[in-house]
Amino acid sequence: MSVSVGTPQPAFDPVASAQSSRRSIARRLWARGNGRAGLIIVVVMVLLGLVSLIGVQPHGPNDQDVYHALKGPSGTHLFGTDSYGRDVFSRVQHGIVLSLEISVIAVAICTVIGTLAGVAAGYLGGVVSAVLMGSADLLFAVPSILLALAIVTALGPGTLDSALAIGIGYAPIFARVVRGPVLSVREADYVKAGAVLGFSRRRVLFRHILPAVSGVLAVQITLALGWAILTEASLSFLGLGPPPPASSLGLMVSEGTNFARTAWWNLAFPAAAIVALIIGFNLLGDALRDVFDPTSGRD
Amino acid sequence: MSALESSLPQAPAPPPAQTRGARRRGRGLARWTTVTLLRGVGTLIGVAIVIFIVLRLLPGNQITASLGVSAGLLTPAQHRALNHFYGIGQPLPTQFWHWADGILHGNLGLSTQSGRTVTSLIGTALPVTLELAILSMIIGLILGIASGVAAAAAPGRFGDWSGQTFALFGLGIPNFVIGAALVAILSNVFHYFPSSKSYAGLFSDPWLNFQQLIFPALTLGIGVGAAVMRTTRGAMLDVSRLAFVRSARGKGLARRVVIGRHVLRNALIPITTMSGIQFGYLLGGTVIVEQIFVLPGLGRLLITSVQEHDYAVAQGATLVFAAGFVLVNILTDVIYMLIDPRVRT
Repeated sequence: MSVSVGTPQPAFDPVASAQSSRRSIARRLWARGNGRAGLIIVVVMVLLGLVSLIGVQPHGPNDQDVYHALKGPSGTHLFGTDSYGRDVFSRVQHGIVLSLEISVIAVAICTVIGTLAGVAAGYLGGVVSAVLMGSADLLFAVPSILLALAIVTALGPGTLDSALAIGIGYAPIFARVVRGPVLSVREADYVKAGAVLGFSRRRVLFRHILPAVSGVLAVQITLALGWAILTEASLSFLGLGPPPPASSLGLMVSEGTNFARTAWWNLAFPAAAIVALIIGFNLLGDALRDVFDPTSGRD
Repeated sequence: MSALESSLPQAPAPPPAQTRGARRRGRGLARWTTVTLLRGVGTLIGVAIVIFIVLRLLPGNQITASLGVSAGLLTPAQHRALNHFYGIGQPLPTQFWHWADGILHGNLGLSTQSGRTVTSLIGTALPVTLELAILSMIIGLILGIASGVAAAAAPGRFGDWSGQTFALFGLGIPNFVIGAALVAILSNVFHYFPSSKSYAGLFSDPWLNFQQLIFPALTLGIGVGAAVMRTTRGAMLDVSRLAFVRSARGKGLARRVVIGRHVLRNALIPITTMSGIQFGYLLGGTVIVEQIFVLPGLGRLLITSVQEHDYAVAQGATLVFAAGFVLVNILTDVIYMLIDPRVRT
């Protein structure tokens, strides 16, 4: 994405600076304790899930073996077995994939909707802004889990429906977060210069304004992945996620509580997987925020 | 960053220079009250419309919900009669208008499942949720502010480290995991499960009521405490860098006085914001926690009613949740004015 020849070079080109600093962002992330911990946790968890897709898992997630039901962790069953004799380790792997799949789609939905709304509200202002931000306020007044609850009940449980429900609930946050920087960048000299030079609105928007919010967006996306995993797990805990026999992590926790006394591994391992995923993304998001905004109140 | 920010008192038009301070303050307050109330009512109307539409998108209707498969056995005449009874055939705006008209008369409709009025159902469920939310909030604020102050008092030391670890796990562990683990540990290790007895009201049996609510409140309070801790720590560190804190230290004030009276007092504003946001999160969390600990609160009422297509109850319960949220926002603004003289123009 090089700047075409003949284009006057603005004093500060966020595209160029974003590109040149991309490597140093990774380095600064790794230099921080929370960034490194978050990165390691996320990579390990994601790999743990993804390798199951190419068949690297000890057992099939739905293979039943009633003679070995509720057996504790052992060499053959690393995390033990559940009440149907299914391998908990393989089910956790599958659960991670499901959870990531739903969360990534959900975050994609809220990023696109929220960013578009935020940019439109910030850049266009006026009535558009009032209507968009008013709707965002409305969605904020309904706790997002309730909204997701209603949407999932309406659409029926399933991967895409959960994703949509979670995505809609979080879109207002993106709109808010994006609108702020757009408002301030809109008044920046290089954006005004673009307008004076007769660049199309679209060009100004995509080449000059969007890159300026990319840092905020990166932080928000990472944190949103953590929330999405949390909400997805809560929904499936309430029985509103992908229906059994899919091994959604929240559902596994809910089933695991029934056997908590005799078979703690049914509760502990899926719960640990959820916690690890959320903490991983939270740490990563915090570190990203520190990297992009050195004044964010941390010492 | 939140609804709170946008609902902050709008700066009133600058009054003529000779207006006296007291009158100015009175006028600003009146204007602020009007704006805040209008905003709150507007939000509630919008929420009512959204809820109404979302619930109408649910597949099935009251007939299939109450009769199940046997709804297929109904004759067309019976179908028509039931349609008429439930008001199903009417256009959506008419249905909405009936509902809205009822609300204005203090009538939220009838539960099609239990036959009781929605107002009475909410009346019995709301105190449970309210008590749970307030208890959780108290636990969360104590945990959060105490650990946040301890962490900020000695950055990088043990207090800071343990506070940050608490925040990391408090935010990372979903409340249903904490709740499920608590139930599992209490019932299996201690053979203690207060929720197995039927719910006791605060006034009928305060001790049993406390036993039944303390663990759900703890479940929710940990998450709130973690968020409040981080805000407290950050705000305290920010304020500590300011010049007036240095001069307070310089004139030889005791550490406790500097931290308590100078730093914490000024850090209270972001803490208030965060607490308001967390209260909203708490209201959503009660839905899950009430389910785990079998508490007959508003959240449980909501889940049951959504599952049973009991529209009137679901609408009423959601509306009460939203009203609670709006009220908390207003309350947050009032607290701002109490702790920050600058907002009191």
